[in-house]
Amino acid sequence: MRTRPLIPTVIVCLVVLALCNLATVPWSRRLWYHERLDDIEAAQNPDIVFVGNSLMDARIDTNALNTGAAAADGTTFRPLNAALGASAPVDQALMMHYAVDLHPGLRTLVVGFFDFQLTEDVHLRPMELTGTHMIAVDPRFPVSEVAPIYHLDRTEQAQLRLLRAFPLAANRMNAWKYVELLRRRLGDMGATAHATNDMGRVEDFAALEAGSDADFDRQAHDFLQNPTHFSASYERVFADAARHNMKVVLVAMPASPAHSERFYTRASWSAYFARIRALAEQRGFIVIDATSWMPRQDEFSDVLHMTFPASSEFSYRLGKELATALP
Amino acid sequence: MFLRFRQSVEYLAGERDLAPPLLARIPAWLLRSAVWLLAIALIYAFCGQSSKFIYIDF
Repeated sequence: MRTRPLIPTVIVCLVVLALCNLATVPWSRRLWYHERLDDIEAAQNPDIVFVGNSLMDARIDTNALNTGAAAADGTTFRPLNAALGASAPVDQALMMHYAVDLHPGLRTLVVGFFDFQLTEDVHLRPMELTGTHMIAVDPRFPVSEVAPIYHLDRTEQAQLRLLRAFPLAANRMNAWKYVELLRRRLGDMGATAHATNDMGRVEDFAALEAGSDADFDRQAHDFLQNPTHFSASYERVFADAARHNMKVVLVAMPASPAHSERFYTRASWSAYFARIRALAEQRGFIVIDATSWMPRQDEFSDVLHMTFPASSEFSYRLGKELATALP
Repeated sequence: MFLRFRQSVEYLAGERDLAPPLLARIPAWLLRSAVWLLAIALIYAFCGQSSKFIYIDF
């Protein structure tokens, strides 16, 4: 039997992998989270920052916001939208940290929230830092800064360092994204195409709602058992705001009629929201309940997200409310 | 043609020791590297498939 040329083969594979690893760095610069970090960096002297998930991301229309603010009392905002779609509260805490670090002139923090976003704790392990959670892998944040925000122990910090050294591994899900897009395109051939919006398939977003009424009630009940604090991630966001003397505004984001009818008519939600409002007011925060601002289903592109025209309307009304509520 | 293709695949996969005429002039280590890199690329492309995509445009 002939021997195989193992060593040259291993060397070639390692060299190609190292080159791919290097090529991944410019590739990841085009990712959603990376562009949003670049936007934060490029913002010109903002005075109000928006933090949240996809309900807020790309849903703040600056012109409409300022038109609404001007109509109320002539105020003009210089907004910075640091909300990030598909993000967890830990990611949002890091975005906020980055925004206040770069822009000491920020005076107001607006957090847009949905359901139990303010009070549920999410722990992401390094293996789960994919997609937009890759913000934690971004080298512009020292591991020592990321670790307390993501609650990473020493082993997890070592894993994070490893991921940073091998961006090819951190970006593994981004490669699958293209396979998935191809799979979807092939799956739609010869069949009725699935409805999509700017973020994905419309029907998929229903998975982000509570699985059942009982599950929704349980989440409300969990908070009501000990309603003295927000989640650790949001406590960090609010601590950052306090350190920079920022006024905090909490906005319960507009919900589709389907979501409102199913969940926000429940006694558990009324009790939860009343307690959140009380906790917020105890801290000196302003609470804006925008859940019923968009009463028509056609103002939503799926079960959760507003259409862009509805976002402009929301921004106008939010601008008015903020100008009135802020000193 | 199919016979040559079969011989090539068998050689690349290690089933056959003698390279078919089509691959005889390419160094064996280069061919083996190509096979392993193809395997790595396929694994890489599919290793994220346990993820359920809701937001596809990240």
